[in-house]
Amino acid sequence: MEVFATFAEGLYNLAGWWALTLLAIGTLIGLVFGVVPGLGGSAAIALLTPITISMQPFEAIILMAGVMSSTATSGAVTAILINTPGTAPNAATVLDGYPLAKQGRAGYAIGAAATASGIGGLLGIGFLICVIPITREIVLAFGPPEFFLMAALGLCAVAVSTEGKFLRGLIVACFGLAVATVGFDDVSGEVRYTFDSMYLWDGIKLVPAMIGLFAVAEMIHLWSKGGSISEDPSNTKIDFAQVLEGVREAVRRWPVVLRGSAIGAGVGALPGVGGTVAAFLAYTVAAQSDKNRANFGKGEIAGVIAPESANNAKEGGSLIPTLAFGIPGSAEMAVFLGVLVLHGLSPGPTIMTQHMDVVWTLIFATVIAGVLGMFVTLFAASNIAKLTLIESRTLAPIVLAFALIGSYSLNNEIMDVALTIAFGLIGFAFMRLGYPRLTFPIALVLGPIMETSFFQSMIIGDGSLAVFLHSWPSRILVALLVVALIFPAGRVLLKSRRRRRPQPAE
Amino acid sequence: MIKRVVLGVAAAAMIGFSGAAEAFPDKNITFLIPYGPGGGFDTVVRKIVPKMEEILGVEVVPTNMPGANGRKAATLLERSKPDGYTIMIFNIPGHGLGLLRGEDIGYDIENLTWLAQVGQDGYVVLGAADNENIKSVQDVLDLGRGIKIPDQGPSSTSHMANQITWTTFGVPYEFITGYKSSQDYTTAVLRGDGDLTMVVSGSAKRYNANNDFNVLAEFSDNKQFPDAPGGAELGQPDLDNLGLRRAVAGPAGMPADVVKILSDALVAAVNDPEVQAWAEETGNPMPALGAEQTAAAVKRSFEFHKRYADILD
Repeated sequence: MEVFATFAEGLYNLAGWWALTLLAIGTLIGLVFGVVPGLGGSAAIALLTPITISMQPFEAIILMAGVMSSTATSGAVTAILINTPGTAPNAATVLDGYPLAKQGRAGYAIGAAATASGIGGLLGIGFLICVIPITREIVLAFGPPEFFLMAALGLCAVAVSTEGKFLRGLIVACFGLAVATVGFDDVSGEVRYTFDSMYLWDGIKLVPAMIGLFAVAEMIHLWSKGGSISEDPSNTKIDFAQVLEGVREAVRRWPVVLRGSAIGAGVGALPGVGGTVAAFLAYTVAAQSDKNRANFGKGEIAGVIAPESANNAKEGGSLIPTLAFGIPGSAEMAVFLGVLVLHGLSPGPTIMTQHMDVVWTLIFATVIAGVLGMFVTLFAASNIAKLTLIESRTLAPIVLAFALIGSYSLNNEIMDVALTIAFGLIGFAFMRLGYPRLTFPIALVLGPIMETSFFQSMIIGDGSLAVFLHSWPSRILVALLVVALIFPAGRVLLKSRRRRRPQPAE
Repeated sequence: MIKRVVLGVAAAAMIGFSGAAEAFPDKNITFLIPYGPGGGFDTVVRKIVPKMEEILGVEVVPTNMPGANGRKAATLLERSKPDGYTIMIFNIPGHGLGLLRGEDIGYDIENLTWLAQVGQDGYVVLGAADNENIKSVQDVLDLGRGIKIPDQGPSSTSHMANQITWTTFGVPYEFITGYKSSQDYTTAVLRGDGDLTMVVSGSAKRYNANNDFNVLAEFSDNKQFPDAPGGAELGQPDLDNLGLRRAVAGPAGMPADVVKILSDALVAAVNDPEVQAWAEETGNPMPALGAEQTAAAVKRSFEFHKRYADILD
């Protein structure tokens, strides 16, 4: 097949000290940007772009591949340690990662997360290579009706993210959906709830809001409570053995990794849905199907493995629409597209025919960087995890400073910092009143996708709901949606019937 | 990266006490881009900036400031001193869209100091190649029903181009808005979400590399698709005024000598053979215009679009 003809050429671009050094630099920068909440892959790529102008196209791509394939890996570290997703796609990881950190098992959780990330990244690239010949068909099979159904399916993740407080979780999700409507609406051309503020024109941005809701709120909470993140620091020993235990666990739970990766790669391939949705979907599926179901949200390792394998596998998947059509499959890809154009490589139908060697370089660089990122994270894990043993008096000011700097540096926008602080107070109020916070970002991400794609579907289908059954992908998604909604309800019903005779356990 | 931040801070600090510029430029120039990194405007600026630096001998710092459809960056530009150290790239007529609708866009786009045009593109009507019903504009007129147009939304320049085109032809239309980019909504046409859409010629060339589309028409005075009929051939010569210009401006009231230096540097940077080769390869037509011609072209564009103000909502 012609796309595989330039395989060796692509690999050759990577052979050499300079190329490998660039790759290592990119990976390390990606890891650092992943750890700091607010800074993520897109920020790193945007900042590195000017440096690449004087480089060869393949060198620039190698550097960027290093960044892109490592941010989600290290973003999990922050999610686990301080209950704050380092990058948006790590949001689902906090659900079980942080409880593990509180139990003094942060090293274990990071070990499992990094391993799942590494394997997930590889599987995602494997998926990409398999579907390269049919990328076009995939992208054309998913239109607005399919996006709407995907988003609806993603919204089911709310149900498993409520930490056992279902009604309160729904309230927070509704708050998120309401906040998602703020700003200029490209469907109607109207400006909604901006109160004449130019800042609100672009809506409430996800990342600054999340930094506030999680990092700032968590630090206020920790400060007021005293002590350290690990609830019993004197009896906690975090060493490399604990990290290795996490690695072994991730390997032992390979079906979870496989499922998470499949979901990640699949969702990544759909433009406009993104890694955050992929991770929540993977978490939901794991939480619904795992035998340790009841333990989810309390520190179940599968709840870390599933989203982490998904958010790394999504990189491979999101390269599909990016390369084949020039439609970014994720936020980083949007910036990465600019880098490609700057170097004279037009993403779109021609890249597979004219620049396939560069695509192969990108693929190999992503593979190597993913593995490298995994090892660096693993070796650093036991030391980073000791953060959970630090007194909050020392930890909180440092984390707060990093969080606010991260929020500012995202767009060099001081109002983002104000937003972060406001959401920090909201988040703290949620914590004190016992409202789960995680349903907020789910709703904020999915709200606009659902609204826009529903509107588009209605016009495409002339106002008939039948448009949601018009193709096989949409029919399958409808079936999945029905299963997702009925299956848990059915199980609860069965359980309650079975329990009526013996005494209730929960 | 750190260098860039330091330079940015330094540039910002210096603006505070810039005296009479004896030998302009003697410090860094901030080049505002009213979009995030990665888009067409951003890429064009980043491509010409190194050449400008060679010519001017100072750093030119591309600064992304997305927000409120350009209003955020433009407001900053208007508040800056007209000393040539803060310039910005504009989407013409896109950034004047609010103005055309009679809204207060917060800055006076018509009275800026125009320095140069660094890119210009016409508009192309694209239908899917495998759509047997729509092979030409005549087919659209004979359709006997309204058309559906996948598009980004009311804030985009292509939206306005579609409104003007189909109103002129008297074809009823409905937009499917909310697509994220022109790649996104042209793909939507391929998928059959709607009947056709319009994109700038350069992008159309790129998207149509595999002949997935029928080019139904091209409205431009700088045609990229010689086989496609233009407005004149279709009996609507006015439509050839449609188009998108990438124009660079400074605040109102810049001194003439500074305007000349910047304008010459921009034109020379755009006309650099390497930049033009890149423009050709990536489908970003970059015909350069000097300060006066740019001001006239911007004026013409607004005058043309203003005639359609009542249909732009």
